[in-house]
Amino acid sequence: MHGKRQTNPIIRVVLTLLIGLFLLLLAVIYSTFAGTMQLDVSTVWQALWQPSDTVERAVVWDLRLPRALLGALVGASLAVSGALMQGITHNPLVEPKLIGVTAGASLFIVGLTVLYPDFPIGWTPFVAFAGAATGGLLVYSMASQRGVTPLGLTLAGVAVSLFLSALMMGILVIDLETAGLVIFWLAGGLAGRGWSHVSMMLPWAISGLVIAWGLSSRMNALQLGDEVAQGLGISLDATRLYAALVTVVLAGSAVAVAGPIGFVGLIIPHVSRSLVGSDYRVLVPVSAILGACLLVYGDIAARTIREPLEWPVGVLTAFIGAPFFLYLLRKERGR
Amino acid sequence: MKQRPFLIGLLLSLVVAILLAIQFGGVAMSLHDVINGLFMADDSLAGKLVWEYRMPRILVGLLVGANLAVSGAILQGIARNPLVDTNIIGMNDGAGFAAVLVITMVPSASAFLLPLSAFSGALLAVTLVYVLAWKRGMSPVRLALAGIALAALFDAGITAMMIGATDQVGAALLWLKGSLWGRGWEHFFSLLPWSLLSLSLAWLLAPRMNAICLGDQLSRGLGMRLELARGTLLFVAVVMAGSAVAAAGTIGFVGLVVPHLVRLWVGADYRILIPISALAGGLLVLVADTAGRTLFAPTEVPAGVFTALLGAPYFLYLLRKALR
Repeated sequence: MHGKRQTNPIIRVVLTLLIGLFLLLLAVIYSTFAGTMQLDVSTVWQALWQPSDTVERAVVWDLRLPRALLGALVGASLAVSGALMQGITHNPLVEPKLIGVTAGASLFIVGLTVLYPDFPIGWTPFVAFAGAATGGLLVYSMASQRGVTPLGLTLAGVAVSLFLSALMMGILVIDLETAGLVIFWLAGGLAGRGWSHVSMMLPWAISGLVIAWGLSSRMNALQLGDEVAQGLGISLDATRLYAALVTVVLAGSAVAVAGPIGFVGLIIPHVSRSLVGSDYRVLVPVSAILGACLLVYGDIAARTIREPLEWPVGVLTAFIGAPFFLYLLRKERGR
Repeated sequence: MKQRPFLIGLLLSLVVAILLAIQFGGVAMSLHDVINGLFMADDSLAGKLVWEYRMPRILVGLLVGANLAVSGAILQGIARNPLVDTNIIGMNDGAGFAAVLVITMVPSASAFLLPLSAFSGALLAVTLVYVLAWKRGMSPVRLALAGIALAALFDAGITAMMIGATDQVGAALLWLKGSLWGRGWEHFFSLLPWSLLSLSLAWLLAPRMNAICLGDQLSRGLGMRLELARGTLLFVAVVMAGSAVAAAGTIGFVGLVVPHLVRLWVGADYRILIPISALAGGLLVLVADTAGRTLFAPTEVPAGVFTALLGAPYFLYLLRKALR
C-alpha cells in the first residue's frame, strides 16, 4: 500500500482514467453481443452501420445499444450524486437510496403516473427532481439538528424512505391496472428502455456531471473544514446548495428513467477514493466512469445469469452494495 | 392496580374493533346481521360472511399483531435498544426470504412447513445482525443499521427468486407485502399453536426479562443464568416474528410502536407489559387491516402500509431522542 502511494499521483490518475474508459468501452461493446440472441462480430457490425429491417438490426440498434448507453448514464449519475452527497454531509454511509432522495423521486413519479395518467412524458424528470428534493430535505432537516452523527443521519434516511415507500404503496393500490406497469418500473432496472429514455436522460446527466466537475475545487474546500474554506473566500452555504441541487438532478433523472437502483452511489465513490484519493477534480470523473462500468456490466450479468429471465440490475447492486455497507459500518467509529 | 382503567379501555376498544371489522367490508352488514351471524352460525349469508370470511381474518390479525408486538418488546429489552423492532433488525425479511425459498424450491411443501422455514430465516437474520453489529459492545444505532443492510440483502434475494416464478409465487409476493387478504381458518390454525406457546413462554419469562433490564451485574447478582435467559427469550422472539411473517407477511413497525406506547401507559414491568402489548398489537393490526379494506374499497390497502405510515415517523422521533 505504501509503495503504491509513492508512484506519481498524476500517472496514477491518468492510468485509472484510461483503464476505466477502456473497461467502459469494452462493456458497451460486450453489451451489444450478450443476450438471448447470440450474435457474431460481423453481424453486430453490420447491424450497427447498415440501416435495415432485420431482426439483428432491431436487437442491436433498438434494444441493446440504447440500453448500454442508458446504463452508463444512470451509473455515472448515481455514482457522482453519491460522491457529492458524501462530501456535503461528511458522511461515508450516504447515497441517494439511503438518504430518502430515491424514495422521494419514486413517490412523486408513482403519484403522477397514478393520479394524472395523461401527463406529458417529458415532465417526468421535473417531477422526479421535486420528489428527490423533498425526500432529501426531509432527511436533511433531521440532520441539521446539532449533534447528529453520520450513522444517525443514515438511519433517519432509511426511516424517511420507509415512510415515503409506504405512501407510495398506498397510492399504488388506488389503481391496480396502472400499478401493474409501475411495479415493473419499481423493480429498478433497464429492461425495455430505449432511445427515448436516453434522450430524456442525456441533457440532465451531461449538465449535472459537468457542473459537478465544475464544483470540484469548492467541494475540496468543503472537505478542509469551515474555517479553511472561508479563508479561501468560498461560501460554504452556496457550495452546499449548488452541490445539493446537482445531486437532486443526477439522482432524480436516474430514478426517472431506471427506477430505484441502490448502492451504486455508495460503493463507487469509496472505490474511486481508494484508487485516486479524495481530490474532487479527479474523484468526480473517476466515479462517473466506474459507476457507468458497474451498471453496464451489472446489467449484462443481470440479463444473462438466468437467461431468458432477467433480474432487475438493482437486485445485483444490492447484492454487492449491502455487504459493502456492512463493511463500512464496521469501519465507522463512534456511536 | 393503576393499569386497570387502561386495560378496561383496551379490551373495550378490542370488542368494538372486532365488531366493526365484522360489520364492514365488501358486503356491509347491519348490526342486527352481525349479531345474528355471530350467534346463529347457520347457512344464512350473514352467518357465512362472519364465520367463513371475516372471523378467521380477524383472528389471524389479532395473533399476528400480538406476536409482533411482544416480539418487539422482548427484543427492545434484550438489546436495551429503543430502536429495535422485528422489521428494523432484519427478521421480517429474513423470514420472508426463507419462506419464499421453500415455496420456490419445494412447491409441494405443506402449509405447516412454512412457519418452520420462516423461523429459521428469522433466526439466521438475528444471528447475522448481532455478529455484524457487535464491536466491543453493541450500539443501538449500529444494530439498527446492520439490520437495515441485511434487510436490503434479503429483499434483493426475494426479488431474485421471484423473477420468472410461477403463479403460486405471485400470490406469495402479495402475501410478503404484509397483507391479511384471503386469510382463512387454515392460516389461523397453523399460527395458533406457535402463538400460544411463545406468548405463554414470554409471559412466564417476564420476571427474567425484568431482571435483564436492570443490567447484567444486578441480574447475575440475583442468581440468574443470564445468557440462558437471554438466549431463550431471543428464541421466543424469533418464533413469534417468524410465525407472524409466515401468516401475514412483513407488517412493519408494530413491534416498535406498540411496546413504547404501552410502556408509557403501564410502566416497564414485563409481567404487565407483555400481555398488554399483545392486546394492543392485535388491536393495531386489526384496525390497520379493517381500515385497509374499507377506506378505499373495492381496492385493499395492505395493513403493512398503515403500520409503516404510523411507525416510520415514530421511529424518527425515537431516533432524535436516542441521538441527543
